[in-house]
Amino acid sequence: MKRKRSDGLDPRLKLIWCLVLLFTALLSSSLRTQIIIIALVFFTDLFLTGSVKKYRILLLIFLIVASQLFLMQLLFNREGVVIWQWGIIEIYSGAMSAALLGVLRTVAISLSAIQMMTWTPSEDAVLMLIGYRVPYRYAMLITMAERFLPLLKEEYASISDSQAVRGVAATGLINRIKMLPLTVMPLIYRAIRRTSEIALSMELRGFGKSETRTFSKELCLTTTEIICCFLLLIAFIVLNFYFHI
Amino acid sequence: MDTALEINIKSLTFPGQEAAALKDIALTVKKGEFIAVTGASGAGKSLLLHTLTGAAMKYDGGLLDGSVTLLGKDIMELPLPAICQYLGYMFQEPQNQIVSVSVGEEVAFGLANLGYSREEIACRSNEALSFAGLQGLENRRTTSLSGGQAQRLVFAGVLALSTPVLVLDQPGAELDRQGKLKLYALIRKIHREKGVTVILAADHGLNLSDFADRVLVMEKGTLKKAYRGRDYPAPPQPVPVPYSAVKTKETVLSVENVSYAYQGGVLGCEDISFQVRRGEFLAIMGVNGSGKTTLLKLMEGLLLPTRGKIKVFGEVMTKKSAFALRAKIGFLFQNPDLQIFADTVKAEVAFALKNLPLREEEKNARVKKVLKKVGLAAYEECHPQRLSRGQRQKLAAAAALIHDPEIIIADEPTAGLQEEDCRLIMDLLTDFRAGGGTVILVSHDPGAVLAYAHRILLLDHQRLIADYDQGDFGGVAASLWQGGGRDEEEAV
Repeated sequence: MKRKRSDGLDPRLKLIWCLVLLFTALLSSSLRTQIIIIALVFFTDLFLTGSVKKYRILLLIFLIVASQLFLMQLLFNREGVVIWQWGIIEIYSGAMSAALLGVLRTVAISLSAIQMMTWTPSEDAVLMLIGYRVPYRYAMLITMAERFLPLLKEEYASISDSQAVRGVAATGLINRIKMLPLTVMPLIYRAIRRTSEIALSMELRGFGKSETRTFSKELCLTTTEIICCFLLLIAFIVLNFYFHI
Repeated sequence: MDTALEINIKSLTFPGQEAAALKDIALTVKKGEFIAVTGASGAGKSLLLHTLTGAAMKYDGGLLDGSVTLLGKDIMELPLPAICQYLGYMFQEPQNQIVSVSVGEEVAFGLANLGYSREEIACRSNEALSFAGLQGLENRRTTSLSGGQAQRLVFAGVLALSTPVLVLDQPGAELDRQGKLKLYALIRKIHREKGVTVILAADHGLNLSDFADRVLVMEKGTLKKAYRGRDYPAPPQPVPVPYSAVKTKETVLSVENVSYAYQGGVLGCEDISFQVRRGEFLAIMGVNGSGKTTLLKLMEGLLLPTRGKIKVFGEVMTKKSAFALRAKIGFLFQNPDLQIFADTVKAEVAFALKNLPLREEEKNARVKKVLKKVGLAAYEECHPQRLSRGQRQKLAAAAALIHDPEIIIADEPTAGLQEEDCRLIMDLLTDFRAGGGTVILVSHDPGAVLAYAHRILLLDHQRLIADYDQGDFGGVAASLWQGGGRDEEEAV
């Protein structure tokens, strides 16, 4: 597995970075601040992982969310003066800026959270949760998700193919919706069977035997990371509560 | 010699079921013995192994009348997670046992649960990986492993626990013949070198007398017969079924200079050409990664060639024509669970008739006929998921045959099945061919191919390297049956 620069950082530092960005985006009503947060996410990602391609998949989702937010604001926002009217529909001057702020804030919050998730290897996330006193039996669900979600996706594709060759039309949105029970049922049956076997296989390898278990590494914040954590917290307090950015 | 396991099962019953799932089994397994359990699908082999771990009672809710003693300890008094100190257990499907993201973490999983130190874990994991031939792959993602590697990884994880007893449930069920022989060689090695007691539900087609001290044959939940290992008969060499030559020259499917490249330029298959005549029983062989699956998807119309064309009954397979052309083809998959969705066996089979202009009575009559043919007539109101794996594969065969297709494309239809079920599925295909149908079988089971097919296409490195007619391929298939040829890792 290829290591990225971000892998070397302690997950707690990443968590603080994420929370600082996230709460700043929530507290600030400035468009400029939201844009800076988004830029920071991209810049740090480029520096630490060398690529921002992973966000491409979100573009369509963001466009859908943005169109909904714009529509809602244009229809229901009553701030400012009326700039356009057609029958009972009135559009106010404050609607555009409120919609824009809403969209940028949603993007900033989502990107910060996704950055945290993609930066943190599942093993680190597990160790961090255990550090916060989450029992390892639950914390390890993160690793399981990373292992089994792609498998589930692959299985769904195989099931769709199998049903398609049996004569189920798989093209077009309507057909796909109609086909859903035919693909979801085998997926559920398989998932139940698989879950039961996995749980048994884990128990038969001693999972849950003791309150603790050995992990391949331990988390340890370096002095630089501790200083970074403090600086981030100070910056957050100063920028949000003193300068009100 | 001390006793490893003392099994005395008067009956094992599950709530809501009157009949005992296991009954009258009395068996003593000595330390260092190698026991192979065999029998038809549904005979109770896996359940017996489950009972030895205690899972049948503690996990599946079975009620045991009798006792199982593991190294002097009553199995009912050992909590499930404590069993791994005495007994290592391996299931059939490796993908349902690998829980970690990396190979290194997976091998260490059991040891880490038992709280060993990091140094001890590293030492034992390395030893197990090296034994299983996976050294150097510690940092590989488990999702990137081939089927054989995944199975050996699971085996390494069990070995790392260094238990005195190993219980293995058809460990080679998902592997091609070469992979299976390789895995069994490893099991024999650990048995001989470390004196580990081995009890395994054997995969079909293996010469059990080569390694088992005793072979137990199960039937209907009980031990029917016990052999000394050396007395157990070797599996018969596959004998070709009598074959009437193809008289017609009608081409039902033609693949013309077909190439396919996946996204990112990864080659799926390259410049493949062949024709299939009506009434042929054609087998496509090749190790994993040789291009079989891509070729199959192209013939099914799930992928469209990047170059060349595929014609079914003279019509070119396109996105538009694929739907109509598939009505003339029946598909039988390796894993029946990918297609089963209905609430009853009857409804599952009847699904393919939904779009045909037939009267309800006619549809019912057809369903009954085909279910009788595959031996599932008694189960028509049963939920498909209550059937055994072999029965589910028969159900899938029934669903493929019901609409009277002209061609059947079968993808590894016998993988993971026991001898009897394999024969039943292959006989169904033979009957279908005898009735004027055409069979295209994708397989890496040389036994089935040698016995049933009349022509073999051999794929390697995404290319068609040989096209043998009846009579020419006996030597090739026999060599593959003996374990010759490249294995999947060399091909990947």
